[in-house]
Amino acid sequence: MKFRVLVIVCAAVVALSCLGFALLPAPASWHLGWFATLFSYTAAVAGAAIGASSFGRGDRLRWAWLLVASYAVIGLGKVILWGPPRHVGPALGLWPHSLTPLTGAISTIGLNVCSVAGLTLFARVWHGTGLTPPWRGRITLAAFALGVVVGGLPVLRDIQMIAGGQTIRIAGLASSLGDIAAITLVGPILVTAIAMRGGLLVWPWTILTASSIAWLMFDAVQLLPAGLVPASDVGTVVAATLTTGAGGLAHHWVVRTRT
Amino acid sequence: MSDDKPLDRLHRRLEKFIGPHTTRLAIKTFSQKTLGVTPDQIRDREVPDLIRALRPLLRSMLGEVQGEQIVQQLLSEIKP
Repeated sequence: MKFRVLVIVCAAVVALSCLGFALLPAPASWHLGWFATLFSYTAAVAGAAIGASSFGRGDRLRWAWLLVASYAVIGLGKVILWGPPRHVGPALGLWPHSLTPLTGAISTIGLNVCSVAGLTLFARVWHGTGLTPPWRGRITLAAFALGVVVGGLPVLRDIQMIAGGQTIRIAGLASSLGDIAAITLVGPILVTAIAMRGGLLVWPWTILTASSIAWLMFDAVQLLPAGLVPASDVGTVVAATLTTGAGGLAHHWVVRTRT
Repeated sequence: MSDDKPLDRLHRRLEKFIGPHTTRLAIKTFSQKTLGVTPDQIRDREVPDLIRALRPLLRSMLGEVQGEQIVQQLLSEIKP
């Protein structure tokens, strides 16, 4: 029951953030976008930390959640200092002038490295167990193919720009490579969620899958008509970060369930 | 309930966490790997070995502490 409530609360907050942002006039909508992302990133940090605390030092999933918490901390720092992510009005952060190409690049690279490393550990949860769910290899391969289709061209473009002397595009390259890796890693995480259906562990793994898909949708938002982009940006960022936190909390609840 | 076969009890405990599908797959895989038999050929006295073979899976999915707790609980419940 509490897992269902958690999912409903996440969906309600995402819907309210999107609707509020779309209906309110600027600058109230910009402030709402900022507060919504501040709240959701804080929830991501707290939830991932709670998820990590459920596991012991030697547990792979402890490090997975710690890495996820690290990317959420970097993301929260960006929101506090520089305001909500792209397209959501002017810079509303506490220190917007500190956003330079270099600080932007460092934070983007750090965020992508932590995110991909965390997802990799989640994807390797079956390693060493002696068991592999059916279709895991094929779904991972299909996800990788999708990742290359989606992220291949931006990677080539970034490499060409870096070769042409625009070294600042290293952050863009890190982001594009992170997208390919993230899409690939959705495959094994989704397979784990499917394998756990009918058991309590289906909840954290499904919520984690939803979070990864929401991050991919955040990238896809740029393909929408310009008028829809700002509200969609707020919706996808809030969905991705809120579900990150919910996944950690759900994992904690499962691990602490009495046998 | 206490008249259940040990394998049925193991199945019920596991499926609460990892679901019925992975429970079936795990019991089938480890009964073949560890005991060299199919699940319907497992004898009651072989169930503890099967539980021990499940230890890495439970530890990976639920953490070392909770995974080990479940293994120990299962072993104590299934003692003849």
